[in-house]
Amino acid sequence: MVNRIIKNNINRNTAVSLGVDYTVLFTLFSVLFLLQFIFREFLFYVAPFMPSSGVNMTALELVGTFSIFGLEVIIPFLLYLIRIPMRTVYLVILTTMLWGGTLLSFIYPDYYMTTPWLIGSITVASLTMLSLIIVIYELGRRSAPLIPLIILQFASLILYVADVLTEYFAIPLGGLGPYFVYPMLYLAGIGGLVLTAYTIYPLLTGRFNIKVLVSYIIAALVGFAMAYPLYQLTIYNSFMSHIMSMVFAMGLGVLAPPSYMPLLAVFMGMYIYAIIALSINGIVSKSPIMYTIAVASLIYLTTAFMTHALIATFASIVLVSNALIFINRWEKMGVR
Amino acid sequence: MENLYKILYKEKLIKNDIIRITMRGTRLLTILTIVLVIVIGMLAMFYPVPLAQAPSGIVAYKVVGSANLAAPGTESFWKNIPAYNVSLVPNLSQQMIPISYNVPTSGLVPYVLVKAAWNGTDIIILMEWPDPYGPSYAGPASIAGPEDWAVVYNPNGPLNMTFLELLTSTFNESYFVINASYAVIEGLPRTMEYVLAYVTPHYGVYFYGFYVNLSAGYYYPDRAAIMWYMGSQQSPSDCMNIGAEYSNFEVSGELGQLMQSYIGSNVITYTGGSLSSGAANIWEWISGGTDPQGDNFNYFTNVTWDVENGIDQSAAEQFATNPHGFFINLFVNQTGLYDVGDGGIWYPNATGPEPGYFDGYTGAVYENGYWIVEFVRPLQSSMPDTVNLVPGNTYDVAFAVWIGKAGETTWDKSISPSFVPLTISTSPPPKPSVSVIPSAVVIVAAIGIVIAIVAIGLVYYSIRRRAG
Repeated sequence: MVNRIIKNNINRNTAVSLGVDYTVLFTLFSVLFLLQFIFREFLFYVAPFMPSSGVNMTALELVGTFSIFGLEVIIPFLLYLIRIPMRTVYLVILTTMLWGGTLLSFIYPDYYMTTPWLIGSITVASLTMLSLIIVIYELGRRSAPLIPLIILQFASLILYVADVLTEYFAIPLGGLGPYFVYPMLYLAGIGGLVLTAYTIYPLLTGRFNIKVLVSYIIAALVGFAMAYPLYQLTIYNSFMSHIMSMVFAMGLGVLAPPSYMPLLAVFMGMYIYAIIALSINGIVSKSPIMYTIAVASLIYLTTAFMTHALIATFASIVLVSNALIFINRWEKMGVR
Repeated sequence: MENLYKILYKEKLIKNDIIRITMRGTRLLTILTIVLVIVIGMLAMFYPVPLAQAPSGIVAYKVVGSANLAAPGTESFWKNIPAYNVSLVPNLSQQMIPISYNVPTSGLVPYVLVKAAWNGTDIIILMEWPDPYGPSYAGPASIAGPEDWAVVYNPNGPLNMTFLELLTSTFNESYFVINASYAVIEGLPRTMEYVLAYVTPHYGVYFYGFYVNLSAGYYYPDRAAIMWYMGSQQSPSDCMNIGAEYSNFEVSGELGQLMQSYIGSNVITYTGGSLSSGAANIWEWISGGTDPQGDNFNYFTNVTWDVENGIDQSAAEQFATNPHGFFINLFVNQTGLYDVGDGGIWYPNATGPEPGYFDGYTGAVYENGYWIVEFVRPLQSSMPDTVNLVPGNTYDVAFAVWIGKAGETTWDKSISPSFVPLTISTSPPPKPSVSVIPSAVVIVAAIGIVIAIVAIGLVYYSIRRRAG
């Protein structure tokens, strides 16, 4: 009886606390990441091919600049808020690297070529790998929908470390890249299937309510509306499939033959559906883990195919991994 | 309520410090974070604040010594610099340009190994790639050698001879037939490249590759090119995928009308894949023309020929007295591909005579099935439309390689599918002390460091978790 009273009290108060602080900042983090992905990662490459008389691309790119700096600010604060073991280690190293790099660029612009910074970068990459392993360790079966994307991200980090060791430490690992091309493409494909299956599973077992159902329908409609035009555009029109193939290569870093474009459109639709469905479901069902899985899948997928040339990329992966661990531990305590 | 938590926490009834955050008034922190996000984000929009970088790409280390162009790759400083493996792809593939099929003979070089260094005044780039066909010193088509003869075929049956006749007559070229499915067009004007890629496959005439007859000496020079991006984009995309200089070229007559049904116009509006993301400088080494062993090298050692072709007289005179391997400079942008420093030997000229025409040096050797080519140039640009290199800066570079004896020439080549960052480091190469240890041991040790960080982290995490 006493235990139940205590537990209920904890539930109410912790839920309130999550809503006010963590939720606001984590939501802001996810929105900023999405904005920087669309307006920085994607637009930088695709903008030169847009008609010049349209929207002002330079102005849109500024949204990307705002977002990436917003991320650099919010990541340390969120790391401070996310109470998990080793929080201090992540907080100190990542904050030092995130803002130390900016500071050093004014004092010593060649800082990123120096041995301490190289060691720092490898340490950050290793910490990122560590956070991914701990996600699987802590979440157990719950990490299943993310496992292909976690492995994909892991492969991307291995390639990064191999590149740095080759170029900066004279260790010949430069030939590793070609072996990763197809496995990474397949992992991304499997990731889309698994994530979609994860969203459909509650429907099959009947554990859903009307709100969840509506959220799924909305997500499916958005996913379909985004993917269907691309599918239609590329299934019968060889010229457009070539153009879109280049857009995928430039904007997303995914090199795939043009004949695969309709298939890629289907996978893109799956990801859009799954990420939106999980996000809305997470919000309406008050399930932070579901929302975090949606954000994590977005971050793991979109950063895997690009060169990890910014510390902010590693920091985003570490943060979202730790958020998963944090929320999982939180929920394990019976707090929702 | 807060006291209850404190008691519970002390009594270990709440096992984790997660709960502690509920006791703190973090609302202020949240507001502060949001304010900082807005302030710093806005500041970065109007004032260029650099983001913290993570190192990546090729590094040109500062070395002591100079290039030995007679024996490229043997200089002692290369021993301390590892090769960067740049994977190459066929230029004429669906993946690289919007064509409806892959050209079977394109992209025969799978990779090129690249090393870079600088010695205070010059940058030195070493390229090494497999060429199982053996070295070619044939003269490039535009100087004196054979023209680029295109082989066309129909993989699905006999060639459409009526259309082939129309195609060749429009461009004033002749052709001969090898068999029912294969024919050779005696020449390939750059505008025909476009028509061959985008129009003729619809009429059953596909580009197969360039005509080669090794016993008759009919093949092309080997070539290697480095592109230096000079535009403003970050990591631009279409790199070595360049082509014809004829934008707005009109294909007249019946072929023009046939073209309309597939392209929508008989005017070539596509710039042949010219660099859409901005300008770039290309350094191109041509075995038959710019290498002392090349069949047509003597053209360049002839001052009269040089001057007639728009090369600066004093540069030509100096070169004639002291000839050396060199590379030509090309300039590419959204409108086309241009020669720099001459009157337009290969492409239309961008500048006219420039004293720095022979300032780039190359040394090349073919051994054990590999070409090894070294490019040397002063860091400071000596001609307009060429890249000026500053130590400490990072540049986007791309690579292209042609195997002449296999029929690769002009647009048929192997290219790097995307730009690779190249940083000119102000420090020397990594210490050679590790070279006495077998490389396998070093690799294991290096990977071990990463694994150690992860493993120690896991153990530490586990301990902290239990303690919590």
